Amino acid sequence: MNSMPDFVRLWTSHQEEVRRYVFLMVPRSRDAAEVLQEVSVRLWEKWPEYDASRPFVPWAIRFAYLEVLKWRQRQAREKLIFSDALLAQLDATQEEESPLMEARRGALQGCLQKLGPSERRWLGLRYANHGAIKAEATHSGGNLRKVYYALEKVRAALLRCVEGNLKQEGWLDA
Amino acid sequence: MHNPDDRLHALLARLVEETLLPEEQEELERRLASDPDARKRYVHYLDLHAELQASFTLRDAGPFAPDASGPTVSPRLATSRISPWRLGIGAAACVALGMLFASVAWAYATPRLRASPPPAIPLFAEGFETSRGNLDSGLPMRAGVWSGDDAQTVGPEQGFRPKSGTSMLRFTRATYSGENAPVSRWGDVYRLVEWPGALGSEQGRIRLSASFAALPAGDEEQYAMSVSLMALDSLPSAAAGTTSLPMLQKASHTHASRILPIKRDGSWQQNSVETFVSPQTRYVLIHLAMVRRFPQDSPEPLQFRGHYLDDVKLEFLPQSDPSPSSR
Repeated sequence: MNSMPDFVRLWTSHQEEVRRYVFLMVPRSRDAAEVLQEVSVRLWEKWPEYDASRPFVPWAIRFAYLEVLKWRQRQAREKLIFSDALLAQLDATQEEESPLMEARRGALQGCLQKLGPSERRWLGLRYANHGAIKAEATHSGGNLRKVYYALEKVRAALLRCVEGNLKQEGWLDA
Repeated sequence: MHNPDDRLHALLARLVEETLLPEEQEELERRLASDPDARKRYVHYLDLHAELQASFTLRDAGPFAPDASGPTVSPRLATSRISPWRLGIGAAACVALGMLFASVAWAYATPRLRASPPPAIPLFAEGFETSRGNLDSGLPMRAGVWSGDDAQTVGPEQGFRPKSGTSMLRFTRATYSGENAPVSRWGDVYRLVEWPGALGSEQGRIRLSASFAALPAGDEEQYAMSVSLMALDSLPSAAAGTTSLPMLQKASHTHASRILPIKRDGSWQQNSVETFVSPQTRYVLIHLAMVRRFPQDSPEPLQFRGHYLDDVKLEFLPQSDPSPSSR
C-alpha cells in the first residue's frame, strides 16, 4: 500500500516539475499556484492507485493536465489564455521537449555565470525580489516599459546562450 | 528587417510579465497554433522564466544575487512580490491533508493525526477591539504591532457587523503611503509574534486562523483570502537582508500559505494554515491578505470596498511524542 511519507517524499521531490508544467498551461503565476493546489489534492486522493513501479512525474502531469482543464471550465471565458486546442498542442510539445529540459537548465546555469553586472542586476531585481523592478523604475524616474525591455533582452540573450551551449555539447544539431 | 523570433520573444516577455494586451494575446495564440517551432520556443521561454525564478528565489542566490552596490529596495511587502510558487508549493503540499505543513513536519506530524491531540496553546488572538485607526506601514520590523498596506480598525458599518466584539479591520488599499505601488491587487497585513520563552524549544506545529468577509457588490470582481505563516529566528532587519518578504521567506525555517476564494455574500468565512515550528524559532510572522483574483489587470493599486478581517488566532499544537521511533 502506498504510504503518506512516500507521497510526501515524491511530491516534495517532483512538485517543481509539475509546477513548471502547470505554468506552461496556465501562464499566470497566481492562477498556476491555484491549479497546483488542486493538483496536489487530486494526487493525494489518487495516491492509493499509484503504481510505484512507474515514474511519478508523468503520472502527476496527467492529473495536472486534467486539473488545468477543470480549472479552465470554472473561469470566465475572457480570463482564459489560449484555447483548449492550443493547450493540447502545448501539452504535446512539452512532452516532446521534456527529455532535453534538464540539459537546458544545466546550460542556463553556465550562461548566468557569463552575464555582466548590469544584466545580473536586472535579473536580481526581477526574480530575487519580485516587484522591486517596478520600484526601481519608479525611483530612478525611468520608464517601466524600458525596464521590461531590458529584461526581455537579457532573457533572449540567455536563450541564445543556452542554444549555443547545447549545440556545443552535441545535444542539438549545429 | 523585423525578426519574427524577436516579435515572439517580445510577446512571451509580456506574457510572463502579465502585461500582454488582448490583441497581443490573440497574435500570440495564432502564432503558437500555426507554428510548431513557436510552440517549442514557448516551452523553452516559460521554462527559462521558471528556472530564473527558482535560481533567484528558491535557492541561495549566490553569485546571481543583485549587486550589493545596487539600489536599496524599499521594504515592500505587497504580496505581489511573494514568489507565487512559494505560496503554491507550500499550500499544495498541505491542502492534501486539509492543513499546511512544511514537508519535514509532515512526516513528524503523521502519528499525531491518528492520536488524540493535546490541547492547543493560544499564542496570540486579535479581535481589533483595543486599537483604533491606521496600521503601521510596510513589513513589520518589530513584534507586537499590526502593519502592512492601508487598512483600519472600524466598528459596524454599511450594515455589516464584526465577527465578534465591536470592531474589525477594514482593508482599504492594496498599497501604503510611502510605497504607492503602481499596481497591486493584494491588501496585506502583518503581525510579528514573539515566541513565548516558556515554550522553550518545545516542538510542534503552529496554526493560524482568521475570518474574512467581502460585501456584495454589483460587479464581477472575484476575491480570495490568504493566510500565511513564517517561523523566524530573528527580527527582519536591513543588516540581515530581510527587509522584503521574499528574503524573509528564504530566511525562515518554515513557511506555509493557503489561499481560498471568498464568497462576496457578506458572510464571515474562515481560512487557516499550519506549519512546523523548529527549536530555533524566535518569532512567527503572521501574514493575512485580501486579494482580487479577477480582473487581474489593474492600472492602479486596488481600493477595497467592503472587505474585512476579524478574529485572528495563532495557536501552538505541541507534539505529544517527538520521538522519531514513534513514526
